[in-house]
Amino acid sequence: MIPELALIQRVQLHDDRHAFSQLVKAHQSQVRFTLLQLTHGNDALSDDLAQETFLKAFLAIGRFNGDASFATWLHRIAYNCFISHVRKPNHIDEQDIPEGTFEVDFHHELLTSAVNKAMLTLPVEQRAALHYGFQRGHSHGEIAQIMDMPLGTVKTLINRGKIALQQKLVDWQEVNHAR
Amino acid sequence: MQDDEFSNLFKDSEPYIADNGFSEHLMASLPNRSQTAVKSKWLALLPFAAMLMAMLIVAFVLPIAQSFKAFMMQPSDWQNSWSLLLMVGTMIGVSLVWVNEDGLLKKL
Repeated sequence: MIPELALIQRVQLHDDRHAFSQLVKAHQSQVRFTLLQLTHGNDALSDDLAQETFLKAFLAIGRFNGDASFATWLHRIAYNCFISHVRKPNHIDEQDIPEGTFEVDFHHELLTSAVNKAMLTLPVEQRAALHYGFQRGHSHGEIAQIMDMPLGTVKTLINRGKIALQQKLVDWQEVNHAR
Repeated sequence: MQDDEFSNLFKDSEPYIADNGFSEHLMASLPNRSQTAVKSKWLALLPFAAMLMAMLIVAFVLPIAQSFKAFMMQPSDWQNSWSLLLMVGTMIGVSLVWVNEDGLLKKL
């Protein structure tokens, strides 16, 4: 298997589309799942944003210099695509989705599924910070880079997100033990 | 709950999303990179550089030149010399702040 850096260099130097398709195949699941988390589980929208992400990555890959990992660089593009979408004037605020839809399914799911569902109830920035920190394993510095935020803000988001998520999981456990 | 417990919880919760034609669709819509790439980044920066130069000339060079001219015409007039000194001082001050601004030198 060809190392990732070699694939990137092939795209940069020779415009090698086959190499780029290998990079896409290696990262598509993670990028699409991240965007699925950010878009409140909207798979059509998350796939559109993922396509946009890879398209932008292809056009800008000449500027990738390896300062951060390719995954971090890709996630930064994905997060920017998502933020641009949210800032569009016709964007429907996801907080408008009635809370009941989450509560109905929540108690019937297993813990792992419950984590994903509980994540969807958090404010978008907390959700993104927790996702990048715990699901993707990025450091606080990398998250600050991806989300273009000061390190202190990222730490606050993670702490608040953890407390909120923990509370939701405790509620879920209490309901499941009571059954 | 500790951080490592949180991480474990999340690791188990991520499904693998099958490609299902995602990469084929993407590859079919990729533009030709050489057509979209800017031939020279210096060429792209040219309009901004021209605008910056024009602003510098209007903001600093012309007023300083006028003050200098007035100073040369009447060196004994203290107002002219103070005006020139003030302008040159301001320009040096602004330049120092600009150059020392955090991260600016790295970007240059």
